[in-house]
Amino acid sequence: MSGQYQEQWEKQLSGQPMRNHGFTSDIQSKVRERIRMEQQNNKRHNWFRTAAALTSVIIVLGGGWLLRDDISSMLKQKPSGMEGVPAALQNDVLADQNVTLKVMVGQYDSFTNMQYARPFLLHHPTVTVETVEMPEGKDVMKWVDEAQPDVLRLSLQQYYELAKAGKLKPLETLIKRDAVDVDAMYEPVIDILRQYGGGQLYGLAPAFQTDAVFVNKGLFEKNGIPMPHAGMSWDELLDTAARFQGTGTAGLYSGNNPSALINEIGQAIGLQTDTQGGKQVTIDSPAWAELWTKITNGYKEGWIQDQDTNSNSNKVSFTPSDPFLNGNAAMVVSSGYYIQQIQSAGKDERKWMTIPVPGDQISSFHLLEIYAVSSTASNEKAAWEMVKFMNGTEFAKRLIGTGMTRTPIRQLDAQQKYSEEQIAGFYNNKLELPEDWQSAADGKPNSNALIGYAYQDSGPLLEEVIAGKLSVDQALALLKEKLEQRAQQDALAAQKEQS
Amino acid sequence: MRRGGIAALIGLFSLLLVLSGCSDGEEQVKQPDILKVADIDEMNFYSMYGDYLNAVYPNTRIEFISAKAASDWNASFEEREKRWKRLIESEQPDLIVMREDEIYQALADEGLLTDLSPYMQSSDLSEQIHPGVLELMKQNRDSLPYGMATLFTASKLYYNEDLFREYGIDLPHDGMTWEELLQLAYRFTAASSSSDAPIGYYQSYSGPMELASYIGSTEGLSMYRLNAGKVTLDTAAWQQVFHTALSHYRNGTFRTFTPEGKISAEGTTYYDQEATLSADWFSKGRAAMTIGSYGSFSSVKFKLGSVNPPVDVSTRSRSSDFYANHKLAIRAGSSEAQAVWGFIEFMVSDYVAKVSAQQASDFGVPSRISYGQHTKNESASGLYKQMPAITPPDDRTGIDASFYEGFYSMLKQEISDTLADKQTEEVMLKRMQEQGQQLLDAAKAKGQKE
Repeated sequence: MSGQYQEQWEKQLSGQPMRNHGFTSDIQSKVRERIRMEQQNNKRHNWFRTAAALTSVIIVLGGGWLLRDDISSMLKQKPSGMEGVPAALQNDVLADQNVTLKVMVGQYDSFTNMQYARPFLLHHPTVTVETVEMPEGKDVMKWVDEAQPDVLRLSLQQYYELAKAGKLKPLETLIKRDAVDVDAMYEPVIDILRQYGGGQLYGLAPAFQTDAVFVNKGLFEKNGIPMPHAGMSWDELLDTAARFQGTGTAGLYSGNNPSALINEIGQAIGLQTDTQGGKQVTIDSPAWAELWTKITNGYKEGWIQDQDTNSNSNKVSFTPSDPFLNGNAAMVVSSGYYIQQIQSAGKDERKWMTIPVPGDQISSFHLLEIYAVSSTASNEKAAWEMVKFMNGTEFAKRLIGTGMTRTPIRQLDAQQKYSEEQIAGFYNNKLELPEDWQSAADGKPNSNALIGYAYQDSGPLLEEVIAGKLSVDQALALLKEKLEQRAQQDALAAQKEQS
Repeated sequence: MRRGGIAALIGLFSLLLVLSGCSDGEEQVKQPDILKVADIDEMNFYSMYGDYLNAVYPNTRIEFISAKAASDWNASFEEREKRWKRLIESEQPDLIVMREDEIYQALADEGLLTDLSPYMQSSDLSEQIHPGVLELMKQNRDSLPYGMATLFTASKLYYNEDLFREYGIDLPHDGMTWEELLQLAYRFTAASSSSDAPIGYYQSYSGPMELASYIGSTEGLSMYRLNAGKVTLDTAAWQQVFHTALSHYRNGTFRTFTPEGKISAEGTTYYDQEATLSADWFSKGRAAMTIGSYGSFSSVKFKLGSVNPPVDVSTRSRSSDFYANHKLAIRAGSSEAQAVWGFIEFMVSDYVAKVSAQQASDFGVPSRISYGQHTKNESASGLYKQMPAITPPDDRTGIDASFYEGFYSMLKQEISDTLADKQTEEVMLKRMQEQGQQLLDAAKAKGQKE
């Protein structure tokens, strides 16, 4: 019998005042409740005397005899309806709670569509899970006050706002109490959650999203080109891609279109479309021009490629047009969901790997499902159990097994199914919050305020550069003009709204 | 002294617990280190069974064996069967998931699966499982349950209660035959001659040929017996079925509507969401009744009612569209047989039935009967009163795959000639029989050559 076990029993027994026939209804009900050994808070040791202890021995023996059926059935049978229930499910800490948990969901949410609650309910069948949908575009603070959810599933931005407003329960104490192994979780994510929580953890995320470079090893081997590796700069990676020129294989699949690629690289290497909250447009800097030149050359020379074009382009096609999946491109930058794409394509499953994306990946980093307990949760214990479960290894198995769309928070979980080489890229990106992250989270970014416009307006201009109709400098001058107009229009609109 | 007293007390108490309880050894199955699972698709396996398996055996590593190639529809049945056999023999899975009835039968008859009846007996399960599901499990040479479908799917006859009230027509009820259903439907046709008035019964993508074959499957009839090499359409039973379908088509009881399909870049016809919606006359309130899988039509704008679908004439108890396809089985000789059974037993436990009642189900309802009491959906309990219409197993071995398409287009042609009054129903059936037999003979000859 362990020391801890003794101590708990001591507390239980010392707390029982004696009643009729020396038999307390409390003891009786405790035994009938199948003896849940939970700690009691009131410590009253002193009144207890040896005499009482001896009496208790008799009581317990007598009680044991009286309740012998209960005691033995408690040990050999499970409660009714528990026949065939495996051992793994028999210590449900919420078994005595008949609680309804209101869980926040969005429209078309995996929580509903993929039955995320199911494994949790298998462990806690007395709990009822009710989903409450937050309408698209609604202010999260207002919604939380109205809908009163118990368990929240938040984006990083929502997490920031709610934590700041004191709407979330701090989790550090609970994490420590239940020995949740936060150290096994991908550290940069935990760091960011702490920073966005003002130094405290208010939520946990089972998965995160960043990009990685997917590499078709077979194509590198076939063409005798040295494999790209972690720690390369974007310049070096693009040079590697350029070596595929003339092989009939593209070195890099843009993943979408030239604008997306330029946007991705620009942010990774820290280029800014604008500064001073959009007042100063910097899109025509020499660094941007160099990037545009390199990428547009890649298209001209054929080592960068967009989607494979189908001859009947205006018809729906059921064959993939992704040159990486089709084995026609050696690399692509994509996020965690792409692993599933490769698996479904079913080609050369073992011949791919990932490496981190050069530069900083904070711009491709997203947390879309941070589980948190509302500070007004009706049943905090159950809500925390759910948050804990959704971030545990069992739920990770389900996320991985049913088709990983994001990257699991623990690399070791992911490595149950994928080799280290295949997923390492996702766990080795540089993820550093920009200096102005807080003002950006408050809706007042210092730089890159016009980045959405830049992405949008770059598209047609890039096409003209690739077609040789415009020089890079001409295109960037036009883009600068356009962005300045956009900034002015926005400023005017903002003024109007104020007045 | 005090401490000692308490320690003694605790010691005594624990002794008591030991004495009262532990004599009965708790028989929990040991968690296996590795469980080898064979199924067609890994993701689908995990989404259907993964949560339960992880819950039962949290520390077990699942080794997934893909049966994708063995289930490739482009391969002949014979070839698929061969591949399954080879897969089981070489990979030695412990748990086998089969989604095709014929494959299940074939593997059971080959002796590759474990008879579950001793396990079921010892856990007293037989009474708790849908009798229709059990019956389907016994569709093999030995009539023994070599597998267990933990879920089944069945259909309901859905009706638009508002329309029935509006027209003052009696509501449908459980246990109607097709003839009774169609006569009830005809009352809508008789009530109004307007072309945009609602019709009584409608089925998306369904014409007279589909209706006849639907009725035939309720009656447990087969159009052909491949293993005997015989087309079996020239029977009184089929004559009755075709007469029912054609006469109700003629008198306007039910109509057919095919939306415009689109052609993909690969040249296949597909129906997009718009087309599917346009064909759904029931949801649009244009038809009073339709048959759909359980759980359909949850968001229609009228008062929705449902009863069990039509039953066969001879026993008035069997309905078609009752499937228990996803069967879990233990490989014969698996060293983890007890553990696999522990998982299957859990899947069909009352515990899981109860938890399932809380969740929307994307595939089927639990075979465990008690689900009907746990769920809030009232129409669920009716599912446990349905029994499957069973056509005896057939053997598709050695039949060229092109047979089926040719056969059904021949039927369609003959039906449309009959509806155009070019021939009587009697002649139609005779011609169907003759041409069908020729097609089957040719397919058999071709299949054997290959």
